[in-house]
Parts: sequence; C-alpha cells; structure tokens
Amino acid sequence: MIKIYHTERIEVLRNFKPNEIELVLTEPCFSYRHPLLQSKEAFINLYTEAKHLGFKPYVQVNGYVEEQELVDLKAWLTQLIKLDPKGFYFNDFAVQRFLKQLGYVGELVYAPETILTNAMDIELILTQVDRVYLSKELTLEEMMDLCKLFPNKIEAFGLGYPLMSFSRRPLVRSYLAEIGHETDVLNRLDLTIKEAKRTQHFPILEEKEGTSIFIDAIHYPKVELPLLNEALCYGVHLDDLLIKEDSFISLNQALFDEARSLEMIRLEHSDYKLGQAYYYRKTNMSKEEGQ
Amino acid sequence: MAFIELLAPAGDLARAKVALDFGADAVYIGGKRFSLRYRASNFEVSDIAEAVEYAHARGKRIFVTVNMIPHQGDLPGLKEYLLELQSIGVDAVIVASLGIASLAKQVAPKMEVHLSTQLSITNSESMRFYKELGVDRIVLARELNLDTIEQIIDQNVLPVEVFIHGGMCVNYSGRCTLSNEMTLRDANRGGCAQSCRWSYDLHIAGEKVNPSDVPFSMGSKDLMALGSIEAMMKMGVYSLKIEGRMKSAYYIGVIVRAYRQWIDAIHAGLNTPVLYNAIINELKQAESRPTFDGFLTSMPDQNGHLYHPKEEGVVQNFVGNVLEQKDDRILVEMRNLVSIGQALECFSYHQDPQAFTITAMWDEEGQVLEVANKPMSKVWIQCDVDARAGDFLRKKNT
Repeated sequence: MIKIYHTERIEVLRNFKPNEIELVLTEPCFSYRHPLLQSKEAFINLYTEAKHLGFKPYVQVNGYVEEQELVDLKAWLTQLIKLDPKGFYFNDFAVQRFLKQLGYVGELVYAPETILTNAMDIELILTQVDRVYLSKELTLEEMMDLCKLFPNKIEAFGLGYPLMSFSRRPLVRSYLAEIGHETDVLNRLDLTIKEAKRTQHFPILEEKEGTSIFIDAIHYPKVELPLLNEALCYGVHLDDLLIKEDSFISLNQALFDEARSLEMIRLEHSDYKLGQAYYYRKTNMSKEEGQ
Repeated sequence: MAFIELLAPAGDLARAKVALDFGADAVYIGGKRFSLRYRASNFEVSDIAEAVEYAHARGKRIFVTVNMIPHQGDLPGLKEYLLELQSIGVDAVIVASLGIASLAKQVAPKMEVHLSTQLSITNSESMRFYKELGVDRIVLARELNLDTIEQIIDQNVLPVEVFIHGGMCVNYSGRCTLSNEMTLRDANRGGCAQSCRWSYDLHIAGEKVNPSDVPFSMGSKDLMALGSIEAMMKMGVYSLKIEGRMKSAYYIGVIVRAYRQWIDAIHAGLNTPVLYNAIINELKQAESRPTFDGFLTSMPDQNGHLYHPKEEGVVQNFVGNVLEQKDDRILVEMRNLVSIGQALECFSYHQDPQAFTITAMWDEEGQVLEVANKPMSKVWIQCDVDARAGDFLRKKNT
C-alpha cells in the first residue's frame, strides 16, 4: 500500500526517502488549505526542492473554480504540466477537462473530499480518471468493501486532521468584525472552536479563499491500516497540516512500526487526540438515534 | 424576455397544491426514499402521482428529489424507484450522485435529470463534463455572484437553475460533515442537524475571545434575491428556485405569490419601486429568519450571519387555515391567538389580501368566544370578505 504524503514544509520532506513515499503538493492558486504557501513562486520553489531530493510530486488542485477563473486556471495548468508532475489530484472536473485538452498523460485522481461514497459513482468516475480518493465519512467496513470492488483504484485518508467542512465565507473574520475584535487570523494554525455543550476543540483555518473546519482528533488507523492493505487499497494519505513537525514525523513512524502499540503511541503523544474518524461510527442516525 | 420557471418546494401533497395554485411553474418534492428530506417526507408514491396529475392539468411540472449521496447500503430499490417515478409521469429527478444520474438516464430516460447544488458546480467547463453524462439541467452552487452566473450562462452549455429564496448552507452544500461528527447524522443522507447554527466559543492561541453574550456562530441569514430577479431574467437563468420543503403551506403561499407577482410585473414592464417595496413587505409576512442577498452582489460578511439569538425570531403573523365558508362565517383551524377587534387579512391565490376585523367568534359548539387561544382548535369567525376553503388568515400588518 502506497504512502501518500501532503506537506508544505521541505524540512518535513527531508525525513522521507523518495522511493518509499509519494508526495502531493497543493498548489496555491485554485486550492484551499495551503496556509504556508501563498504564491506561485513559493510553490514552484517547494516543488523544485522536492525534485532535488528525488521526489516526483503530484500536484493537488482542490478548489471550486469559478467561471471567471477558467482562463487563468488553464494557463496555470499549462505551467504546472511543464514541471512534469507524476499526476494531479482534483476536485473540480474543469481541471480534468483542461488537463486532457492540454494533452496531459500523467495520472489523474478525483478527490472531492466528500460525496464519493458508493460503487456506482466510483465505477462511473473511474472511466475518466486513474484512481479516486474516497470520502472520509465511510465506515471501515464500507471502505474495505469498496476497495475490494476496485482493487488498487481507491485511496483513503490515513493520518491527519480530517476535514469537516469548507465555507467560501470568511467565517472567523466576519465574526471578529461583529464583536469588534482586531486580530489577524488569516492562515493561523492556532484557532479552534468549541461548541457550548461539547468538550471538543475543532481546529478552524481561515484563508483568503475560505474557512476550513476539522475534526478535533487526528485520524490514526494504527490497527486498521493492515486491513485496508489486505483489501487492496491503493494508498493512504498522510497530511501534516496543523501538526507540529516532530510530532508528525514521530506519529508517522509509529504508525508503520509494528513494535509500537496504539496505547504506547497515545502515551507518547498525549498532546494530540488520536481517533478513527468514522471507521466504527455509522452516520445515518435519525434525530432520535443521533447525539 | 424568455420564459423563466418559478420552482417551489413542497413537503406534502397539500403544500404542492398550494405552491402550484399560488403561481409556481414547477414544484419539487421528495419521496420517502433517496431524498435529503426523506425523514420529513409525507409523499407516498400515490401522493406523488396525484401531485403530477394536479400539476400537469395546469400545464405545470413536478420534480422529485433523489438527492441523497448514498452509501452502498442505501442503494437497493433505487432502480425500481426511478422506474416507478417515470411511470407516474414525474418530469425530472434532482440528483447529487453521478451514479444515480447515469442510472436515471439509462432506466428512466423520459425524466429529465437535474444536478443538485450539492455538487457545487461553479463553472461551465465542469458543466460540459456533466453534459456528456446526459444531464439536462444544473442547479448552481449558491456561492456565485451575478456576474459569474451570467458568464456561465453565456457559455450556453446547459439550462441553469439558481436559488433565490430560503435557507442557506454556510458551507458548500454536499461538502459539510459538521453534523456527521457532532451528532452522527449525515447531512448528505438527510440528517443535517444544522450544527453550523449552534453557539461556539472561539479560541485564538488557546484564549477564548468571544463575549459570552455573542457566541461564535456560523448560522447564515436566509437568502432573499428579489432585487436580482430582473437581472437573472435578462441574463437567461432558466429556473428560479425557492428553498423550503420543510416550510409551512402559508410560507410557501406567501413566497411563491410574491415572486410570481414580481416576475409577471417584470415581464409586463410594470416593476415599479412602489411594487417592489410592497412585495418586500409581503415577503416579511412569511415566517423566516432575517434575510440578505447571499453571494449575488458581494462576498457575505458579518451582515450575512446570525450572531444574536434574538435575531432568529420569526414573524408570527399566521393565524390559521380557512377550512370552510358558510354564509357570512368562516371555519378556521387556528394557529395563533386572536381576540375580538383583531385586524386580519385573508391571504389567497385568487385575489389580493382582503382585510377585515374580527367582530364575532364561536367555537364549534356555538359558544361565543372573546379570545381564541387553543392551537389547532376550530373556530367560526364572522367574515365579510371573500374567504374560501384553502385560504390563509393572518394578522394585518400595521
């Protein structure tokens, strides 16, 4: 099973060997959740450094592209293709269409965050792309069943803070304007929200493109990864967003170290909450059944 | 200007008829399966069939939402359901799954397939992708402004449907799992608990920054796009969509009639500022949250949110449903407190609102009433205006 890493930090990347992992870099022009990379130049520099380290990165374009952005999108994709990425991860089918029009022959992976939840959709989309990145809100059993139906065609979330929602609106800035609080919150990694009746602190990231909110626990499938591997899951994604560099490296190493138990890892990383997303939680509860 | 469809929601057969009677060109409804509102649905297939018959007799159309984003276990029975919808004459299905769209096209080709706002479609190039799947219409994402919508339409890929009124998701529709995490209720399978509207504390670098009387919230004001209707008609939007399958019959009647009136006035060149203001006042008669114009003219800021719980108070003008008219009295199923001397209006689709004052009331046993204060009770009210079964009563807006 392939390990697919997401990072914006070259110093994180130096801890990995090119022949052991795949690398996905999120471009900054038509994407979200790239708080450390804000310009084309910064992205190209990171990409170039990654190549010098021996990696052949994928590029992720995960945004919803608006009509007036299409011309610039196509121009930027033309530029990105010249970097010779291994493939593209995308959310908007405009990206897929433009890449095909530009004659791109590398890998295409459809990664819509949610909405990819059943075999009928996956089968249809696989006629247009090489692989798909499954939604996080599935149970482990559901994921394994889908992986078995499409061997080596499905990727899954493996480590990191799972995204819960994305809004086009500047949710935090709007609220701070309402209460007259002057703090620059753009791209900060230390914002959380806590619901009145709950104890969880959900990380919230506000960028100029919009606002992302995450589950409060790092998804950490220590026990489940071998099961996904057996089910012929193509690969798992490991995302260091919001995680301190040394913690990410340590958590990552422990994830694949059979000698380290989950209990040991929890003790060693007690400053992080480790969870299993929806592996064991069905989410089609009614109002009466739900929490 | 070309025809533009006014598309209204309905949670049951009675509300579907109200929507059609008050001026909708088409109504969208959800069955008890495969729909995002299925738990609240009161539409058996027989009800859907009756709605289709009612609509078609009036030259109008019925769409059925099959807009759940299904997990594998949700799929059994889907093909049969689509065939059944086609057999009873449903005009279109609204779907959020590309697999369901493709299946509908294969097994039920007489029905149009409309792609839901859940797919967050924001440009014409992706529309070309969906067009190749055989899709007939796109419901655009609500995050677009008028200029962007116009640019999309200019590409002439597929007919475009735009939301004009009602509740708004604060996150991209279909891409929000706040409810999944906090309540195990899947927003994409009809279980949204509207967690975005709850109260939160906001912490920056570990410090709470919100005052206790103004918690952080993401709750959005409702959309009200009356001011953009003329622009949408000119640019060629195909369908104007009202949100609200959970809303009451009275709400649907008020909203549909208001937009019907404005659309017709625009077509006739009679869309004056006086009429516009009158319709704005009329829209306020419906029970709804405070409104704004969404993303249509600018990026929403704090004025697009509800931060103060008291702001969410709704107008409580609705008095009741007229069940029967007999001589100079009407029988009303009551939903509000009224007393002798109360100024009321009879609100209906067949005439402008008719004002009258309560001069006498009786319960069903004939006992004289000074005050009617029992919800769902039936009360005879003296009425000297033309009020018929199916009309609504409301307090007169002073």
